[in-house]
Amino acid sequence: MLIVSNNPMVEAAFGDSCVFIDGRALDVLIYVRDMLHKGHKLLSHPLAGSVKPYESPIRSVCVSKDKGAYDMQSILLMENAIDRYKTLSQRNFIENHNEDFQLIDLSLIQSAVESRFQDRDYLTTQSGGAMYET
Amino acid sequence: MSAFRIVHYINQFFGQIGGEEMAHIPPEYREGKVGPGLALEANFKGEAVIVGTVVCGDSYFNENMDEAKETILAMVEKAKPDLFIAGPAFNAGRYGVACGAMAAYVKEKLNIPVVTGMYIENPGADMYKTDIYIISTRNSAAGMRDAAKKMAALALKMLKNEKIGASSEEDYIPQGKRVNLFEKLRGSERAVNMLLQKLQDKPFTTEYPMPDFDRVPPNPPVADISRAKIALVTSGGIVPKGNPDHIESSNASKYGRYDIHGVMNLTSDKYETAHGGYDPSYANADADRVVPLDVLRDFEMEGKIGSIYEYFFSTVGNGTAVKSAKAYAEDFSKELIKENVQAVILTST
Amino acid sequence: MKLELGYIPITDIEFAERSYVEGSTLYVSKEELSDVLLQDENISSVSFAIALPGDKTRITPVKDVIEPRVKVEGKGGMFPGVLSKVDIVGSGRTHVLKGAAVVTTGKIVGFQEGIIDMSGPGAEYTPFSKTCNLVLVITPKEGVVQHEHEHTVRMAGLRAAAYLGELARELEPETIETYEFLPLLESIERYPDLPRVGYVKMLQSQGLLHDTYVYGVDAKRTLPTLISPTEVMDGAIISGNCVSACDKNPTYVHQNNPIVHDLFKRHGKDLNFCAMIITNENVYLADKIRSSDRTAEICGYLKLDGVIISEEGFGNPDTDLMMNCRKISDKGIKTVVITDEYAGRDGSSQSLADADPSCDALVTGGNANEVITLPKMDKVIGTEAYVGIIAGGWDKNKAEDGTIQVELQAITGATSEVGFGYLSAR
Repeated sequence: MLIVSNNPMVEAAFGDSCVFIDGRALDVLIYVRDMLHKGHKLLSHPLAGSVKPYESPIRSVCVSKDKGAYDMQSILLMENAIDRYKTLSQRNFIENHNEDFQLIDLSLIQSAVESRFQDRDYLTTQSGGAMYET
Repeated sequence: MSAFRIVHYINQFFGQIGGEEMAHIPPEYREGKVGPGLALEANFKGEAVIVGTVVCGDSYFNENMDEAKETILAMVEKAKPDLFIAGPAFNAGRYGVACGAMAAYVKEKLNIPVVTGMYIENPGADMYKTDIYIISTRNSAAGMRDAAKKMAALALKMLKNEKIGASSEEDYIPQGKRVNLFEKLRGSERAVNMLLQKLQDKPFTTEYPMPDFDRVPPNPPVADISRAKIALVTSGGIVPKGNPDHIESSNASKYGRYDIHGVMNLTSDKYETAHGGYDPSYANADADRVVPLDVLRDFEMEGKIGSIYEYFFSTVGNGTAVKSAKAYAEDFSKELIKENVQAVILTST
Repeated sequence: MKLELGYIPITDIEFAERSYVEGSTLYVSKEELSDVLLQDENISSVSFAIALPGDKTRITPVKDVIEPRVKVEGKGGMFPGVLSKVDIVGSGRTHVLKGAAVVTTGKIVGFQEGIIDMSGPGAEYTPFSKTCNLVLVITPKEGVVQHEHEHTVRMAGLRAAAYLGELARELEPETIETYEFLPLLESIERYPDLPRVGYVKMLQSQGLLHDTYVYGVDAKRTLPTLISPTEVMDGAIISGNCVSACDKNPTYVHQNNPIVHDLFKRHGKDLNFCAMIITNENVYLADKIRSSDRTAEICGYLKLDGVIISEEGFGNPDTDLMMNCRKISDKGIKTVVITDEYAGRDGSSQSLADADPSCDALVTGGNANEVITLPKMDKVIGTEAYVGIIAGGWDKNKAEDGTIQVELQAITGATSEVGFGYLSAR
């Protein structure tokens, strides 16, 4: 599993499992979208729950390390999320609360990582196919 | 108290100049009311008067939009109106686009209230409904009386600075903007009531309609592409040079069927684009850029595909109503099916 | 399960030497309550303030709001698994100091949430402008990290509510409301001709400041399950989330779930309210599928005729909401969904992050992006310095005259997705 993120706390916590993006939250989403087109699976939802796109400059998304056939549902979900980001207006982020946003983002992505860890047996017994079909 | 001054915009047909053949006329200004202006003014009951009418050809406006807007703006400004009314355009696409574009422009530049009217499926409606008030009319001039009445009513309200209510109250096309309001009942009670209505099979109204889902489930992939017959279809407006079928540059009323037996490549001496919605230079220089016949012929020769169907279908997607596009496709698909075409490459712009 | 709620109306709060209730006034001893709260070693100090309806007071940032209640008869105590020992609650009798509320504040993260204005235009948007509020301002010790701080503030609020609730134990309630939630088969026997209606309650479960606890268990680690609404009235569900303030369910709202109350009003008349199912909203996609599958399975197993689904939060939970709606509808069950909208400041953006054609009956709590102007208040409890940062505020939104411009998002309970409020949108 990889975490694509622009959150330095996530990079520090996950090391090699983190694909660090030195950019904005939207850059993270676009990078993940591109990965999905190459066959990676989307594992966590690209939108935050509650912290709005224009509130926090920080975003992390989990994707599978391995590639397979591309999954249209994931791509649609991703494109919708990118759309959502773009349509809700941008604000000026308050710089000195970056750390707080990073902390919350880390907490949220950790909850996804924990769930993923729980799925590890499923992953080793299945090969290739989508983790889920919606 | 003197009556409010209104300037009215109409097209060549309602301006009593002519039909489609006169759609190319540039804008002209006439004193007083013309055509549907009479119905509108009657509904103002003396409170407002149409001081002047701009008449402009639909093709002229759509093909020379920037110039037309400026010219007409100057005419409108000179008449010093309190409000600008356009149409009603009913379901006439180019007219609707002209009404919407002109009304939005006048509103922007002169900062006066504007009103227009058209049928909800008019492409102009989708394009301009969020910028201006568009009264929802029937789809043909048979709805003129009703449209005039509603447009006049909304116009007077705007002139008198009265509060404009929700779209359902004022008969304008919903602008797609959510507006908050306080209800008498709390949300949970409204939810229970709504559920009871559903359970009792009674009609109910959702507080937020889902967006339009236009999902087309994809067909299964072509089994063997190297044996498939492929057809080319485009909404990019590629036509034989001279546009023999006169496919309109926007809001196309037809599609063309063009023979490509033995044609390897769409060259600039034989093909051009009729589409008015993009810079035509690259398409005119090489129509393969929009309809990739050259590459497809290569594939045909290399055996990558089975064969190319010997006719391609073309229309202009610019401002063309969804309903029309669907109708054209339903029509020529019959031929594609009959001729055993297995797949279509559909290009747009 | 049968639960009697005995209401003791409270219309005023005052500080006093000792804590007691007389008439409809709640007297609070700062010392006694401090002693109770300072048991938590993470707290260095706590201060108290009173905010009554009509006061020119603003409370911000708000972490949670809790209603003081006490179990006088029946198993268990308030907030089982958290404050009281693990036990099944929801039967017997519980006394409620109706009209009183404990409000916790305290800067846990810089973009802390929640404004409650006790008067003025902002008061229209929050239910807590109508409650008599005892506000706790908690200062943690140096070195207490954010998740501990959150835990501390959460526990302090519950302890204060339980402490105040205790004052009602021996009192005679002015009114008693009885809620009987029958075992499924009995309810079907009793009301064979009424449609079977269930309530699916979605709980936010995503991480720090985004969590909910059921009998003390982090909702992230739960699978959808049946619960009696009376259990929730006794504090079986508590809030650990407050971002954004407008559509989070403070503990008070869990205790007073309006969908539960409004379904009970029609129970036995137009419908048979026979099931309540709680489910979560995890970040991990497979969890969303797992939970929505299970929720729909339970609804199908019970052969419900209709279901109301309430959401908590924005963004990725919209996906859970649509999954729940679609899968339950696929079982032939009629659904009504309650949610709120983020349609942008001008109301023209798509309101939800996800959509499904099955979601054809929706009640909205309004567009949370609407901007309103809040006047300067004489008194601010907590701190106003963060209003610019809280979700919905933005930098430099405080004018020279002290008025602030915020989106409704920032106001506690403004666009309640359990339909607690009266705001809507078209």
